[in-house]
Amino acid sequence: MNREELTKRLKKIIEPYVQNKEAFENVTEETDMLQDLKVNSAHLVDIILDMEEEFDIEIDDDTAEKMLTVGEALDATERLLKEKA
Amino acid sequence: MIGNDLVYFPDWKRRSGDRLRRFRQKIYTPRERIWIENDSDHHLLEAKFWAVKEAVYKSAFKKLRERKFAPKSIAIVDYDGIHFSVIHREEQYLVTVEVAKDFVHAVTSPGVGHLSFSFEDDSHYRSQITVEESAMKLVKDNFGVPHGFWKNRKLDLSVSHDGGMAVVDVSF
Repeated sequence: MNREELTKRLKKIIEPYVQNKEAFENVTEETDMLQDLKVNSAHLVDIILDMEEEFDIEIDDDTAEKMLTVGEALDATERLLKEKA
Repeated sequence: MIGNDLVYFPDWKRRSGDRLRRFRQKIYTPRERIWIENDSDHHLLEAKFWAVKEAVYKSAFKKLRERKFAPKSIAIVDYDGIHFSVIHREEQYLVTVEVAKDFVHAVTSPGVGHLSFSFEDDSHYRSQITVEESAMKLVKDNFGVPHGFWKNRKLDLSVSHDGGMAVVDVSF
């Protein structure tokens, strides 16, 4: 799966939890899910759980704690998918 | 340094079954999970635990300036339902929790004086609030941390909003 496809699927996961819809329209890899998209911090856990289900991966605590931006979430997913393959 | 959090409690009843189990594993320590699972109102207790962790995170961030999503590193070690004792980075925090209507409100021990302002429309807290008939301006620094400026004094405060409501806790 390439980065573009991964980004599309991740955006679909994040969207229901976004409160700042305008920021979501202009999302980049640097976009911070809590500060920019105003995702409620408890919903960051829901995003992690949705990612685990969508990509059939397990995101451990050490990985989760560094997943604050869209790019960091993509990096983690790419790495975990490679490890799984 | 003060830290607070406001949780809209009905949102916490939505998760169930395996989703709830996995959710709790991500954010609560094993001891916290046992407390939650053995409580007759487990959804309320987990919402309180979460609010406590968030309040401590905000307080600690003001000193550490370190952004990390590591809720299990903020461990509740004792509680009586209103007062919560928490350890984070070998430092102890005491947090007070109140429940009003559908909201859970947590605030770290703020020092000698403390005022709490709540707003039913969360758009009203953003720029300024009135304290003793004088305007207190709220300004965020480069880290997104809010500060209050009132009568030439800089005040330590914390802001939280959820469920359309906002609360500002100010330490004097």
